[in-house]
Amino acid sequence: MNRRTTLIALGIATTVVLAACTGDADTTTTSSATPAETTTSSPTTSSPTTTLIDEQTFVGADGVETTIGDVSRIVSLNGDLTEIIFELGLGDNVVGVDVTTTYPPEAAALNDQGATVGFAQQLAPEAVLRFEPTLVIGDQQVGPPEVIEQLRGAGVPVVILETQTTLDGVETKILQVAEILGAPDAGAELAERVMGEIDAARELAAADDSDPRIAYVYVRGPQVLLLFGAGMPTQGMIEGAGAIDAGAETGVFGPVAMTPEALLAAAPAVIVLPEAGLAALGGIETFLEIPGVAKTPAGQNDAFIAYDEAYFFNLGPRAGQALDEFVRDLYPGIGG
Amino acid sequence: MTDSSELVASADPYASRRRWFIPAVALGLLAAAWAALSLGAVAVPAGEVLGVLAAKVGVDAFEDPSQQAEAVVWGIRMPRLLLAFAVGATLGLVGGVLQGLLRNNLADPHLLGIGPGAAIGAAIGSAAGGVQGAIAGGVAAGVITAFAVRLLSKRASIDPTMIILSGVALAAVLSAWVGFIVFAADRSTVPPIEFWLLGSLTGSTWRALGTAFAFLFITSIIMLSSAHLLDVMGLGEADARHLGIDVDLVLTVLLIAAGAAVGATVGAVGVIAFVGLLVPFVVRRVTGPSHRSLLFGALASGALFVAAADLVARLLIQPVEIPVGLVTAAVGGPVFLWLLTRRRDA
Repeated sequence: MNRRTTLIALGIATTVVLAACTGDADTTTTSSATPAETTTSSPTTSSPTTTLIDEQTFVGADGVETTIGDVSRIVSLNGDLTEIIFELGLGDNVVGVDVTTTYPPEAAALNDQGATVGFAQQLAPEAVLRFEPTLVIGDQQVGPPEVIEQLRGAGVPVVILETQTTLDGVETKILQVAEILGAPDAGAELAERVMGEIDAARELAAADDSDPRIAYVYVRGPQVLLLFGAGMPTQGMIEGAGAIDAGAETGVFGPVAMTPEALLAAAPAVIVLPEAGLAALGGIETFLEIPGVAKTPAGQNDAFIAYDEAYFFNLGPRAGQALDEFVRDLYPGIGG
Repeated sequence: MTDSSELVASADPYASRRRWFIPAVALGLLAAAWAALSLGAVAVPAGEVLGVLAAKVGVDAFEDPSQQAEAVVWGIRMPRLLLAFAVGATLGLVGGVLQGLLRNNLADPHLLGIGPGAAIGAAIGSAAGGVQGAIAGGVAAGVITAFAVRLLSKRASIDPTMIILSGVALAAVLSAWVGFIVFAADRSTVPPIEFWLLGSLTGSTWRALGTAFAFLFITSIIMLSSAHLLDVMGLGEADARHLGIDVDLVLTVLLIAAGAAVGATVGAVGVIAFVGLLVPFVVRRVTGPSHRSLLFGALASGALFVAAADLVARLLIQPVEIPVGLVTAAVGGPVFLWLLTRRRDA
């Protein structure tokens, strides 16, 4: 047998194995927030007092009608929903969260203590069922659908909410969560407060006539570098601040890999970044070394703003506050 | 008496190995089944696990299971275990059949490209009709790819490694197409690229099991009944023809069966590589070259291998699960390498 052929075959075999390993690395980075301690945790030990509400039904965004009668043990699959639940005063009932839950600190602590379901897009059924939840709540991004089916098959009410990507959607989101939890009055109050804050921030932004081009670049260490475009919650924030979403405006839809050309085409005057992800990359200095970044108007004027990612684009109870801060950062001197 | 039994033993040096192989695999299957049903992120006491099983066969024994225990053991772990058994058995069997058919013991349905080809159909099918659409699409595309592999292997038939090389190239191209489909499709209906490259049993439901099993059962019967024909065809196609075998018919039927079987597994659990390579290789060393014992042995051992690999995938960093294909590749990849280097030395 030909020696060269064997070498090629060996090379390919190695590649296959390495490819498998790379896949592994990817999986572990996404779940690295939940290392070994999760295996030893026993989250089902303490049980808060049962909170029975009047039995009601809710038709989710997936068209499934769910009957909810007990909200004593809630598993929240999205960080923004967790924030709303805590803001409604039902935080003590939350027994499990997903890795995107970073606020409030009591909720983030659940993640650190191992009371996590991991990554909500790649759920495993038992990772949720081990909390013995009486209600599982998530939006349309959670999956895979077979696992949602398995949870429902196990008799657990799973409510899937529409994924909101606009500032106006914040109201719908809060009201829906409150309705599901049997707290419509608290929900109406919270929605009114948050929408009031959002409107105030919008008005503040309207006082400035310029409409700068702003790009949201999502970084998480050196591997993940995405340009956000249309249909992302960041578009709602940028447009709410009276600016132009440079990604969406140049035809970017959803999150796309940030290429130098895409960024130069977007020509943002300001680039907004996630704080923790930027720090993991090595700060603005390292970010500026990425091809294309320094040549954008933002790069030339050193116009970068970093916010905690959940704070900036969760579109939850803190949306108005975040928008206000964003507007004041964008237009210095506005509103006094 | 003594003389004749010694004669038998020397005529079949594998007889004694086969004697311990069957109980060993049977014990392994039982152990894997018990572990799969009783271990997991949700703690279910052994008594309750037995209680669930007893209740299902109409016996009121052991502990009275809670509703949660029944949902977990019967609703989640049982279909997953059975799907792991069915998929593993099929992949082991298909590996044995393809290796006989192509007279190449490096043949693995996924390394040859049949799995990635089936994944194209399965990804399209999943966009149209969930897991059942995925299985139907996988079966259709699997059969087509099986014939494409046959055409390739005819051209490269002088050097067995060339067949594998052309298969690996084909697999790379087809996997790329799977990627195009996944990234173009709606993320909420089509599983992500990891599923199609590395497989996962996380979404195992009774419905997925039922649909896949219908295909796997029929195709396995066909493949198992081909053992004698594969023995004869091992002499070479020309000799098999001289012995009165309709070689083209056998090839056609077995390729359809193998392609459909692989396609059904891909639709249900994605591409789990190296099972079809590793399992027949190990079994052949125990049972000898006769296809009858090889195919039955590969069926049972394949079931054991995938069920065990899925246990590792599920429990290693629980509650987070890793793709089962990582585990099979971690075990199977080195064996593949060793097989390749050994061939050069020979």
